[in-house]
Amino acid sequence: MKGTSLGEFEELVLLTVGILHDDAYGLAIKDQLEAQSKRSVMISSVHKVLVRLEDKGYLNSQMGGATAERGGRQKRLYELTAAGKKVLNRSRDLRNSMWEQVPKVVWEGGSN
Amino acid sequence: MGRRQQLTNQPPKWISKFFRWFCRKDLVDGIEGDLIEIYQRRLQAGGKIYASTRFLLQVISFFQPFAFRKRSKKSQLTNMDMFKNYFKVGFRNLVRSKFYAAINIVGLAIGIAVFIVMAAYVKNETSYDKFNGKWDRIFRVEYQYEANGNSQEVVKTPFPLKPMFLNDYPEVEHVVRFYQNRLDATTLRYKESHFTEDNVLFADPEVFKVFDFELEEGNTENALADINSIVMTRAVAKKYFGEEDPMGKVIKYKNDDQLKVTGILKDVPETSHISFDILVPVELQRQRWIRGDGNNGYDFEKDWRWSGAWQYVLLKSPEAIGAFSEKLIENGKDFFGRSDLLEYDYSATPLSEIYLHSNKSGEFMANGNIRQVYGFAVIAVLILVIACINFINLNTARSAKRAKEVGLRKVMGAQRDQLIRQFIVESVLIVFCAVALATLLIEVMLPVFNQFMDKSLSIPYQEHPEIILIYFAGALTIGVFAGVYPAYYLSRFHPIRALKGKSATQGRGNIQMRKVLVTSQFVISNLLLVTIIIVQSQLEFIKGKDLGFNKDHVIVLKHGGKLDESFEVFSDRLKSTPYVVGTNLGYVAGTRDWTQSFTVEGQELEEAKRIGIKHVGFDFMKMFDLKLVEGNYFSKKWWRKSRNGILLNEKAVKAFGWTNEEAINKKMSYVGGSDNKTRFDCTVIGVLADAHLESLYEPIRPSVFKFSLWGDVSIKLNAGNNNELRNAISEVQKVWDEISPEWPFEYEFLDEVIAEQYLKEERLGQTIKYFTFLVVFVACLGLFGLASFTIEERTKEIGVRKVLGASVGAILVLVSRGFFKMVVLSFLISIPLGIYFGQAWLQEFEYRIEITPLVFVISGILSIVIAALAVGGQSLKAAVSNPVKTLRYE
Repeated sequence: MKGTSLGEFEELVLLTVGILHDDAYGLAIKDQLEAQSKRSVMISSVHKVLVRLEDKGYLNSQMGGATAERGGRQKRLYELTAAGKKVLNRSRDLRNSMWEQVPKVVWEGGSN
Repeated sequence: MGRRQQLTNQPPKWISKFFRWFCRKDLVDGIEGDLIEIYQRRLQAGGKIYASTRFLLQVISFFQPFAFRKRSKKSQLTNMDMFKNYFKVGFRNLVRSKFYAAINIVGLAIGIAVFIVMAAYVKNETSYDKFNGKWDRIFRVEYQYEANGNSQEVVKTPFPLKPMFLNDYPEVEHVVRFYQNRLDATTLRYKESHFTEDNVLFADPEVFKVFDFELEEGNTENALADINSIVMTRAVAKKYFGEEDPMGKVIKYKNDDQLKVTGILKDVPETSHISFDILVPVELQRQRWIRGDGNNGYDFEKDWRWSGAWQYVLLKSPEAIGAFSEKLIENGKDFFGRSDLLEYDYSATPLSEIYLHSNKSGEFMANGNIRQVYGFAVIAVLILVIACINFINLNTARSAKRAKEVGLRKVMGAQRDQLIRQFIVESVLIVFCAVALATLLIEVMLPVFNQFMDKSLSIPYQEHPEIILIYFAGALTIGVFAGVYPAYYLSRFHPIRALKGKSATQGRGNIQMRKVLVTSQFVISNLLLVTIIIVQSQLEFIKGKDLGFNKDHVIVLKHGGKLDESFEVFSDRLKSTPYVVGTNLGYVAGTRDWTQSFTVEGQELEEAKRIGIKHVGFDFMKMFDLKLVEGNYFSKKWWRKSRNGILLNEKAVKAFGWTNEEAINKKMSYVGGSDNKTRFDCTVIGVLADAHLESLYEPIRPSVFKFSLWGDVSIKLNAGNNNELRNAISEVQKVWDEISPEWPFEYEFLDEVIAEQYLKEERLGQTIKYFTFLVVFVACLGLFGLASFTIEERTKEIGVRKVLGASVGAILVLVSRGFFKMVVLSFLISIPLGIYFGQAWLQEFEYRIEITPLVFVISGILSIVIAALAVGGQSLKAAVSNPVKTLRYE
């Protein structure tokens, strides 16, 4: 169970990798995350989480796409693995089922 | 231009370099690319400085574990495995060459054991008096005076100094005075137990406030406050009271004073330069003298002329010594306002310096000698160095055996530092074995050493378990130290040459080095041989020296003054037996005497000469076989003339500038007597030949012999053999028991008393002999190992030579020539060094031997014989071996 639990930031990074599909590398993930969440993210935190997620087997990576503005350095491109997709699904299912269990009155009432 | 453009668009190089240095290889491109992209953006937005600063901050933000280069777990494991392998190979090597391993380990173990024993000795010697918590505030008051070109340093001072210090010197907290009369026997009695005690010390009650002498029972605050009190050790108390509780018991002092036991002393620590078994208040002695006891109201508290007490001041702070010393020197110059004839030079010696640095007149007991401590420390280091040299020599010499291993390891990819590590691990392994053996050796050596040096040293493993840790650290240090040269040397081999089996030794450097080491080893052991021969012959010289008097068959009685009245009767009774030749009450030949200032008639007091005075009786000259060179000796026949007459020795005659004839009938006077005020006039009636009545450390003193009945009793016995001697002594005891039955009969042989003066040297000689033996043994062990190895290497060569017709003698010369060259060379080097050190030691003696070439001839022959034994056996074995066998060995 322990290996399958995701932190919030980990989940967001995984989802971002999904959103970016075939251009998911460190800086693009950081930009996307900042755009989506409206908060600033450290590039080192992004890389740290990427390394960890790859170690856990939720991500795969390969090198590619060197450009001039990168000083000729290649990008490390990430993609979701089957396990990564599964853990994201599980996390959404868990949320959905918990959402449904919250009584409607909680959302509607509450003024008295 | 484009290249330049590109360069300026890049972040600062040094930051990238730093990043690439720490970042793991698989991540570095991906991350660095991202960072450069961000940099480019910032460059557009905020300029170069802004972008570079942010770039640096970002790089720093990556400086965390996830991004670090991985030291792969796999390679760490290999490291441990390699160490295991080093140990395994090292151990196999030891087992394979048991012979060399044994030589290495035994040699080193002896070296280490000697080193540790010596270290224990040096530590003990240097820790004297440090058990006193206030040692840095305690100082002994001493003075030096000059008289007619003679200066003398004295550690005893007049009693009234104490009240003066307490009144006028605010920095002084306490003063404690000790007094002891060694010529006087103290007897104690409790019921039937009656003994003479010679370790009694008179002390001021403050003794426990200044020094940390402890009481097992009783209160240090007031133990000696009462004049009729006594404290003693448990052992002494047991002698008198047996199993009874000694506290509060009353004991009889010298058959009259009644003293109450107010405390039981813990044994005085061995590292105290003052020692005693019994303490009595100094006030007791004062009262005894005031009320009489032959001294007629003498009060030492008022006597500034008699320097009779050891005085120790406790200052309020260690820094106060500056002020105290200054005042002491200034006020002491004119003897604290009691201007005398002489110039006095007062000083204060720190307690911690007394034992090792002070050797003055009137020391409490024979002190240690800092030079001896240094000497022993040097021997300790030398023997350890010799053992290490052996180790280095044998290891490098045997390198050829290891050459193939080294070559193979190198081919398999071993780095040089790995090989060095391997050999150092091996050397540490051997040293650890040696240390283990050394700890056993120490247990054997310490008792012997203690006996020689009259010490009771031990290694306190229980109280200080950290000693074991020190052993470990020491073993590691020696292992690395001794292993480093062989390791560098062995790891230098060129793999191809080593594997081809060619001599892996490159050049002659190593052989030269080995020669230098062996030679220096033998210089050291030769030096010790020379030293021991010099010490031995000096001791023989002293023992055999004609002292100018006959000390045989003389016994000395300590009678505590009780024979003073009955001496005539005692003497007559003894002389009526056939066993006694003569008796004397007074000065005992061979011991120290008193000193008085003599003036010749018509001279001013200022011209007084300080001369030794010896109180003697009618038999003195006859008893000790002294020669009369002029005039007459004391005799009952001219009693009146004898009473005021004195005899001089030849030295004294010379000191006054007379000839022997001129001296006769000269009139002289001196001030002395028990109150130190009486003026004595005397006339010279004769001159005695010079004799070494005092120790041979000093020149013969100018001396005056005066007729007087005061002092110890010496008795010359008439005995040809031991049996007669026993009879004579029992006869003397019979007479003694009749004359003074209430006193125990105790005596000493004079020749033993005199021999005791040289006991220290005797012990030193014994100890050096013992250690010289060990040093020579270790050095020979090394030589032996080296020789057997060299010969093993040349087995084939010797076989071929024999086949071609070489004789045994020729081969013997061939293989041992090299070693003998080294031994002879080292012998030549050790000659000047030996002369230098020998002379330095002999300086202490007034009468000493010359260092003759014979000393060197003997030591030279000795060392060559020893070397021959070490090398010869192996050489001979090689020389007579059958070439068929040796040539077949492949």
